[in-house]
Amino acid sequence: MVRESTLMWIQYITGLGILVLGALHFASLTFLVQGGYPNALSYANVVYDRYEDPLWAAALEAFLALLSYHVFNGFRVLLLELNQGSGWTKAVNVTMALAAIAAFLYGTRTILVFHLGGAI
Amino acid sequence: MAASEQKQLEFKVPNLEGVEKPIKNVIFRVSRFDPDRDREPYYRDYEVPVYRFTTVLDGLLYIKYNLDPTLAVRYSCRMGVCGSCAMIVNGRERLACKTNVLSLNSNIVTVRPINNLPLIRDLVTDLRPFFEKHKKVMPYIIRDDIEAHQDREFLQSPAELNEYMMLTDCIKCGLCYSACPTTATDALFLGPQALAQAYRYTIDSRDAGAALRFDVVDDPHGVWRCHFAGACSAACPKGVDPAFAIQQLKKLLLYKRNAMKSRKPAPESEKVREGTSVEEVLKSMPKEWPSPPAPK
Amino acid sequence: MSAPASSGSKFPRNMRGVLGGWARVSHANFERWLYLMHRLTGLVVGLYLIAHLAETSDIVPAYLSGDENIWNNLMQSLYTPEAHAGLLIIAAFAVYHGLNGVRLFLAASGVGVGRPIRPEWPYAPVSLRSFQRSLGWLFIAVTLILTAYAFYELFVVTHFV
Repeated sequence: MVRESTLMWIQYITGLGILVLGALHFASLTFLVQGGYPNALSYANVVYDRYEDPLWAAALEAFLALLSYHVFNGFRVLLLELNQGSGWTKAVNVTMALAAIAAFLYGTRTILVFHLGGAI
Repeated sequence: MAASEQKQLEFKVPNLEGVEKPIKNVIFRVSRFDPDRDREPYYRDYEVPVYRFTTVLDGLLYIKYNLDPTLAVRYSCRMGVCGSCAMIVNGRERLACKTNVLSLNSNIVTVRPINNLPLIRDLVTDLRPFFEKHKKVMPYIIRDDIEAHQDREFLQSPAELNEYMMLTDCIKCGLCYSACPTTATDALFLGPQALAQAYRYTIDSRDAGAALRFDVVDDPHGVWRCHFAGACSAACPKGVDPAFAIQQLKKLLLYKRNAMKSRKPAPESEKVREGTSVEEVLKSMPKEWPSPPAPK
Repeated sequence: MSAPASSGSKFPRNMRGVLGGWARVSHANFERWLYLMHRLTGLVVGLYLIAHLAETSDIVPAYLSGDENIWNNLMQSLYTPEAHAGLLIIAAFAVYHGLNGVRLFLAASGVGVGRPIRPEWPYAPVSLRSFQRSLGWLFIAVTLILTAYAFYELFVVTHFV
């Protein structure tokens, strides 16, 4: 059984990581792009400059991993505080863990499809 | 005793006639609830004359003695020490005995019981869940040699005393428990009062029970369900700062868990306290307490 | 915990719930507003993440079929003032949640909540007038500044030019 303080310690650390990578994410959509935001989401820019660049892909993947944990652990905290019926805690823990893994795998598919050459 | 001889109970209402004149009449909008008759609490209005020093508790007792004797209100010391008269006055957690009616600057004083604890009647809530949580965090000094050294003090520096002295002012009134946003939905959350006391005894240099208390507070419904809304500290009528204590408790769990678990408690003083020693008291104690006399 | 005797249906549980507890704002202290905003922003940004994963996954069929228009059409349909207003809110919420999270992390590390004092009338709890409160105001200011920049990027250079 994982201690609650361990879970929350990870919550804080992932939060700090998200702050850094999130700033990078926002920057990559605005002032790091030639022409600013109106240009940022074109297919060429997104695929050739971001997803196919291993460094950007790694940063996005790390961002996704941290977010999957942080968001679904946050939801878990909210849900645990909302209700305390018997079995609720376990149901919430299991559902949120599965949802975090699902979100991570689903996002990973988007990021890594360009490196696996369409294998997914 | 015949009924006619029975002396009528007489409530003495402070008679301020000739000493002071009521400054104004204030409407007390009091939450009423009778579990045998009502399904939901409702408000009833009473008109109460207010003097310069009339407190909300004085007003409620005026209602009880003069207007409606069925009003249930819990109080004891009337001077902000016992913590019995915690209630919500004009939407804010307060001790009724410490709240001057005129200081509220309002012609309507709304009084209702504190939140998040089961309502028994009128302004009285069931404090048992609150005290059960207080007990759960073991609010006493834990160490192996506490029985052996009862005739001498444990040494503690003023700095070590200052670490927890503020938290000893807690009167267990339940106002922080009522103000806390987490207790509003989480019935198992220990609450600001219990967590603050857990910190108060854990940080006490005489204590060696950190490991036991960490097991209790490091729980899905323990210290981590505090999100530092600070409502407890804002509500406290004694200047205790539960929000501070809970953040410090989190700090201990995050950074000093092992150090606290293996910390050596303060040593006992060399000086034996004067007076009867524990051994003597124990010797003079009967082996068995006498049973009460059989009824005749 | 054993159920207290007053837990029968006769006695109201008297718990304030989400609206009366989490979102209670009457007489709320500053930190309580920050707490409420932290919950709200976390929930909204968290739900946005799920929508965002679904939205960006559209680039996979675009890449696999070699038809860039699958992606570009979606981006075109989201290039509206309404969608950008939503993004502006997400940006502001994300920045706020992140910065306030730093404040909470510092508080849980014992930073910015002051030192214990002996309470003296009139009581002013030390944790509510320490560095963390200034930090709260500072982070609100930073959030507003960064939101203004997001407004510039999302509206000024897209719709106003």
